[in-house]
Amino acid sequence: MRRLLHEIRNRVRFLFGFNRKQRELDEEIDFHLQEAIDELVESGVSPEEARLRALREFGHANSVLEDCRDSWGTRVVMDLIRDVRYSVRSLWKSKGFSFAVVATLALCIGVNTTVLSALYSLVLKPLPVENPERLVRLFNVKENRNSNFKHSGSSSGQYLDLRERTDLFEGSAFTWTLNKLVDSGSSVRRVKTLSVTADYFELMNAKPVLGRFFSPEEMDRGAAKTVVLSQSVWESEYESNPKVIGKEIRVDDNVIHTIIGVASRSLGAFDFEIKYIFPHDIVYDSSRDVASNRYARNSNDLWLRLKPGVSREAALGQIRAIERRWYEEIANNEGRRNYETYDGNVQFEIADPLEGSLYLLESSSLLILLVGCFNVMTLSLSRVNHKRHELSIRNALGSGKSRLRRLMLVESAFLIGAAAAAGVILAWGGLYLINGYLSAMSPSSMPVGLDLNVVATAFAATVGIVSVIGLFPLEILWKTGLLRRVDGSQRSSSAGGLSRTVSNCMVVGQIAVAFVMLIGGGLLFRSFQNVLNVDPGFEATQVVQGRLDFSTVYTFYKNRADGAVLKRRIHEAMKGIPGVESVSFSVIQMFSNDLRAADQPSIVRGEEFDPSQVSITYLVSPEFFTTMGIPILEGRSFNAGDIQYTAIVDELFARRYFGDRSPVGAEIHGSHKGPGPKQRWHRIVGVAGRANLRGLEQWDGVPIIYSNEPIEFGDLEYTILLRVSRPAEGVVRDMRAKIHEIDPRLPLSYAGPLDEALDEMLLSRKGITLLLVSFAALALFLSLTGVYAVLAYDVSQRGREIGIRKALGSSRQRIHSMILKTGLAKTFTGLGLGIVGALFLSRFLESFLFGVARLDTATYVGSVSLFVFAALLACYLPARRAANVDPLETMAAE
Amino acid sequence: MDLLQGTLDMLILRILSSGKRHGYDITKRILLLSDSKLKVGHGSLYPALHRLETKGFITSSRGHTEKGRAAKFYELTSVGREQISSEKQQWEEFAAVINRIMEEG
Repeated sequence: MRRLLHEIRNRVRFLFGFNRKQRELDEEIDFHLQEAIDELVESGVSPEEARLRALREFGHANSVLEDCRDSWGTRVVMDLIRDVRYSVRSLWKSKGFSFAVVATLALCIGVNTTVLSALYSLVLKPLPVENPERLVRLFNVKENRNSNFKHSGSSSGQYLDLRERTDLFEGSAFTWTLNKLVDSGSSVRRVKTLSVTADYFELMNAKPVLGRFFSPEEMDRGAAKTVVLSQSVWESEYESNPKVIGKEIRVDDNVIHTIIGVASRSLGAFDFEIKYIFPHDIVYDSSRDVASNRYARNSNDLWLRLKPGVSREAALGQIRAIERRWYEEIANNEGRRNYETYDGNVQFEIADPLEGSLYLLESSSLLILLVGCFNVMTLSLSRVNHKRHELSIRNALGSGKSRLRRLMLVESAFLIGAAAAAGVILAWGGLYLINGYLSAMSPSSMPVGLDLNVVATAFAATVGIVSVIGLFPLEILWKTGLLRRVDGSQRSSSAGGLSRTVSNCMVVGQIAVAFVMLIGGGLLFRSFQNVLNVDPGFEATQVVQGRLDFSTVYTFYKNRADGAVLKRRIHEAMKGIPGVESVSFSVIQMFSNDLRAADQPSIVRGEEFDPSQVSITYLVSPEFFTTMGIPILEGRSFNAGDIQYTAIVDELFARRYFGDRSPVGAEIHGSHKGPGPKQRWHRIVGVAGRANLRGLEQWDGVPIIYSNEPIEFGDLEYTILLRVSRPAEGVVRDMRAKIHEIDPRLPLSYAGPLDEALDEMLLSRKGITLLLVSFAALALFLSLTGVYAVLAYDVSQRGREIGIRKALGSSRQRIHSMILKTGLAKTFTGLGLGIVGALFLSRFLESFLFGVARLDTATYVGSVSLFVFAALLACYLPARRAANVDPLETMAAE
Repeated sequence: MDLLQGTLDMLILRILSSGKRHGYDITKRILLLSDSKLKVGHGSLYPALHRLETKGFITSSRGHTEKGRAAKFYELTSVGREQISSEKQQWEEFAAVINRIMEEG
């Protein structure tokens, strides 16, 4: 051990004292010679003769030097430095090649790191709790008539039952996600909050970063009100002030809560939007434990932690048994029984809206990587071919295979290093963009960061690429024995048969992959166009919306009369805003998947119930159609004097339920067996145009029944709609002011023009289309660079052949078309493979398509023409160069 | 007579065990002790010296010969001293084995 240390120390010292060492060695050899000469002179030889004899005896001083240097162990390092110098010089000399390779790889690394980071942190990353695989979120599933599954949350009844009757869980907690109006002193905002049972923090392994969590006494309903801040709100709203503990906030009905702690960031992984956490105690109320309450509570979540070794199936079996018992004993077999209870993979749930898109992006970015690698390999192959002459001379002069191999590796390492640096910068920019989109597309997701693990993985992958790309071309040259031949024949066209075959395959592969991507991008682009071309059926640009939530102020307007007065006042105030032409409301929020907009069965009085048909009912005030600009096609619109039980159906409903007959005058009910004891049939008074109120992509979706709801009724929540004749910003400002005037506690959300809301719905489709189309463009560009590089190389190699052809009378035109044909042959082979690939792969794209078949002829024909046109461009330059070859010059050059 | 491969290092160490010497001195000493039968080529002496120095068996220092000429002197380190005895033992075992084979084979 001591010896080893000695040796290492000496080697390092020699390395740094290399020049001094060298000088000393020179002196030492000199001294040796002098001594030898002296001795010879003493024995009587003449000084001149002695000198010559000593030198002769000593031998080649250089090789002694070389051997000594070897013994210092610095040889490897010195060689490396020389290799590095050589590589830098040679890369600098061919700037075009170096730039192309670095740019290609940087794009590949950048794109892949970005997408992989996003995928990892939004979908794949384990939750920041201990043993995340044992954490389960329970939800209930209801199968509707279209065999679609609708998820809904769990209920406190289920929570209490499970706590009492199961033994397979280590812990459980129950949470409510609620929007509350919070006055923090500096701002009054309606924010997402969470109310939790006492066991929540422990179940989630959450630690307070400041202060503490709720004590058992504080869970009690009668106790002093407390609140825990999320770390994000503590940082943004309170500027990470450690003195925040003890401060107060006002919630909803002016109830004061004292801040007692700040929860760690890890809780943000469950829902990044949560700002405040309140304690909540459950009191069992048997009168409320009925099926509709037990299974359809959407804002509630039941969290469970499985005991170690317990499978999800076993736990689920037990839970289902409990539900069966409840249904038979407590609910007495009453209520709807088409609910099933499932456990949900927590992570899956949160990333849901993005997951499909992310996998699509991930596979496209891998394809980009594939094209990039093919491209870089083609490039380096033609470069090594180009350098063959130089390499074979080096080989003849004694550079061994391993030395040449190292040389190529150093070059590749340089290129990869530069590309990796540029790639990380690109990835950073990409994630910045993604985070910008993310807050709009999936606000409950935590922002994506440059994850060290992911960057390391991407990096490791690139190191793999280095070795392959660096060594592969050399390996091929070696196999073909080309390096050993330094004679003139190395320029003959037969040379490099294998390397040409390989680079041809690469080019064809690139084209095939790029074509598949082009088809994908094209199909998505056409889908996007189709979505944009959908007629919404209403005049989005002239309508401003705003959602009012009366639940917060409801206690102040307890009797119906007070509530009606309030709503009428709001209605009048809205009408008074300048530029407002008409005012209306809809209880269901526009373009949302609001649970109230759930599909339901409908029956026409006097007719057989058709279980295959579903519809949605929108409760709207009489002026809805005028406000939205939806035409009445038949019959009439609602009148102010209409009773509640009138209905207007849309075109789609009329067609599906009545065919060619007129629905006006018929009576319908939103159930499968008609109205119950306290309900009535709704009489259809008119047919409205089809309006896509659930969003543009639902154009052929579910028929709508509009039910008349007088202005003073509405519900606890409704959306006010204003038809305006002046810019929306001013109207929204006036709207806020008026509502604040009427009741400052009444929150207004989603305020803005309808077309803006429509655009927002398109955001994620726009994002994915944009990305996929640019990926496809990138792939197209890369593959054409490949075609160009191979052709250009071909032309430079076939100089003599072309020269001879010309000398034998080939016209410029014939040479031109000969090279074009070579290029197009590769392109068409690639396209052929690409079409086969696209036919197969496009099935994975089907769920993203809108109004376009996955085998859409126009897209295929368009992509092929685009590709052929671009390939012609890429072939043109090399072909022209070939046509311009001067036979005399090439002959002379040989 | 040519030197057996691998024995030069051992000889150098042995010669240096009697005190510090410079390179030229070492060749002369080997020549003298072997009755002029072993001639160490300069081409192998210096690489060997540097190798031994790298391994830490000897160190070098600059000094002057009796004639006042500047030269580089080598001497054993403590590690080198241990190395001689182990190499000597190995050599003896090796020589004994070879001898036995040569005589009885």
